[in-house]
Amino acid sequence: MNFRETCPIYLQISDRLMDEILAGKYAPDERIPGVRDYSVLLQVNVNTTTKAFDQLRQRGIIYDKRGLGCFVSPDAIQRILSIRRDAFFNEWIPDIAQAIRQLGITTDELLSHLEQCNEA
Amino acid sequence: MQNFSLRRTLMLVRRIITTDPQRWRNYALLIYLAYAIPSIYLLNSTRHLQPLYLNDMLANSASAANTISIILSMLAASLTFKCMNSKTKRLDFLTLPATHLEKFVSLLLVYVILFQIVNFLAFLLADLTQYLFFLVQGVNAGFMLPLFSSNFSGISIARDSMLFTQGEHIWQITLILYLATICRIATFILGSAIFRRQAFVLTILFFFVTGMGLLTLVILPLDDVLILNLDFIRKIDAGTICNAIILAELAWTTACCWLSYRMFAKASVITSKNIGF
Amino acid sequence: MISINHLNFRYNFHRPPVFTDFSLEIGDGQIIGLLGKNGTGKSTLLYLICGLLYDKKHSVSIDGIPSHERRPETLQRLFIVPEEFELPPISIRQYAKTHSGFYPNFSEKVLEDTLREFELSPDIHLGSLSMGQKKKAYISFALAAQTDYLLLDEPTNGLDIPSKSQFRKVVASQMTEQRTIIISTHQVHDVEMLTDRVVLLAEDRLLLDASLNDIAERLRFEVRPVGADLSDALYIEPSIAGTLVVAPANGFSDTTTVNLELLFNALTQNPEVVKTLTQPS
Repeated sequence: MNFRETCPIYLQISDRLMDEILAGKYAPDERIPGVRDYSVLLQVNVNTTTKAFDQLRQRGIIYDKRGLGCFVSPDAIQRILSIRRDAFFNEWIPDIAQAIRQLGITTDELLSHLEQCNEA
Repeated sequence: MQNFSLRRTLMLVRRIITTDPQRWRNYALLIYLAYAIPSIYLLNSTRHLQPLYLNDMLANSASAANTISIILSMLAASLTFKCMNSKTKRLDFLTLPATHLEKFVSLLLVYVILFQIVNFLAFLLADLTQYLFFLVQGVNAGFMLPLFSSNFSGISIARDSMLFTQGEHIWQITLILYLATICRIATFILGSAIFRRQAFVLTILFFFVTGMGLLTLVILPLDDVLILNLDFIRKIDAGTICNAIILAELAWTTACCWLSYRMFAKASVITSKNIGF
Repeated sequence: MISINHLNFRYNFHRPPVFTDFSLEIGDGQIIGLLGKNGTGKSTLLYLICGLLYDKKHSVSIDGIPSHERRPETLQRLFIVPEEFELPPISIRQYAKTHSGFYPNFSEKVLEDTLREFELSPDIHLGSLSMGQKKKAYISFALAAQTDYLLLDEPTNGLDIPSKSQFRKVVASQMTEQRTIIISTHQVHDVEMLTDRVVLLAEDRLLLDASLNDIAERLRFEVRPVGADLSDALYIEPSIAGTLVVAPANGFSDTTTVNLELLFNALTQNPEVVKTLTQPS
């Protein structure tokens, strides 16, 4: 796994698992790999992976079954989408706004480009 | 004082031997040849002589074997601390989980005790070889072995010594001669601990020449000196002299062993010199 | 717990001291990256911990027992994989048979699993292996010994790229709460993701001893585009994407990944950076 320059590793691991759940790799109430196995797969320190799992647990995306491991929550997909939507509106949109300001692009130009992309 | 574990010591011995089985096989072969070749050569070059002289020939052969045995035991002792003569070897040996004493004893068990056993067996085999060699040619040369027990034991040397014409103190003198062998071995063990490279040669240079030379200069001339001064002899109890020599030899051996042990226990993995202290 | 108290060490009087009034404590259950320029004493520190070297005052001890005594109780809890080592001309299996008895927690299973990960067979003859493979074999044995302390001196030197990956996997899988693994290396990127804590050496002293979490809380490591404001930067380096910056965290809610190489450069060139890290938060 190649790591991006600045985003903390545990957040990247957390994102990765969320991507996998969205892609359907792990179904609701299906077991995900344990912390140790995931660390080995990504070649990272177990503590880092633990932090990622803790965050996902806090967000209600995964839950523990004592003695059996970690499982995908039944409503995981909705929660992930909701988190991602918030991130989109709070982080991506301001960046785009700044960029179009810098480049002198009008909102109309932006919207028509978006529609073109969606049609393709 | 830490507990001494015989089990760990034997594990260490096993490690030394199994770590390079090829090397040990070669050593055993060399020791065997060291006895077989000279004895066959010596006997072969004199076999045309009459049977009357054959016993003497065997005696010479056995004496040669005696000398070879002494040299081999010194060589073996000088290999004792070979496991400490490079940085990687030191690192390996010093981090092995065992006490310094266990490691030291394991080295002695291999390079002194085990060596002596192999040495003796090799000699027996060489003796058998020369016996069969001549038997095949129709010459009944006999074994060196019967002479082995008299020549090697040093009793005949003691007997021949002019020091005690009545044959008293023979056992003390025998002990002195045996302990001399132990002293030599201990000296070379110390040499192996001090000199990281070329231990055998350097030890001979420093210790053997000065140490043994002194010994030779003292014991042999003592023989002649004492004969010329029989009155002087009667005044000193010969037994006391013998005991003094025995004590000196024991002290020397103990000092050598203790010193080598201490140097080993205090060793560091990185030494900037070729000398072990 | 490894304790080093006011250590003063030098090899001889011709060379400068390696450690002057050096103190460090290493607790259990961590993977520690030991970093520093060449000649700053990384290997020396590892040797001192093992009792292979010692100072007159015996300042290094493990759980209260001085290392220089080289007691078997301590030595069987320690394993060092040095940069250079010799292996006898026997098979890995035979090597394990002769040496495993010295380590009470030795596990055949861990040895097999690790060798499999490294694509080595236990019957392979050690004399026939390349340097990299010998290293992998030795690391396998080291992990199988399951000692509380594992010291690795430049473990990724001589390993090809797939092997480095295998190495990381193997270390990640063998880490436990009781174990402490100290990895001394120049190849910072090989072990960046594995370490909990970083110990940085410079000249004769300790430059930094901090957990990656603490560092991430106090410093940010960013790539700022060309033209961005650099007034708060403690250290900068140009890069392809713009400028690499080390700046104080100053209460940002999210943290950045610690870039160890950048941190190392920053620390060695700007003493202010150390202050930021050692201030109480």
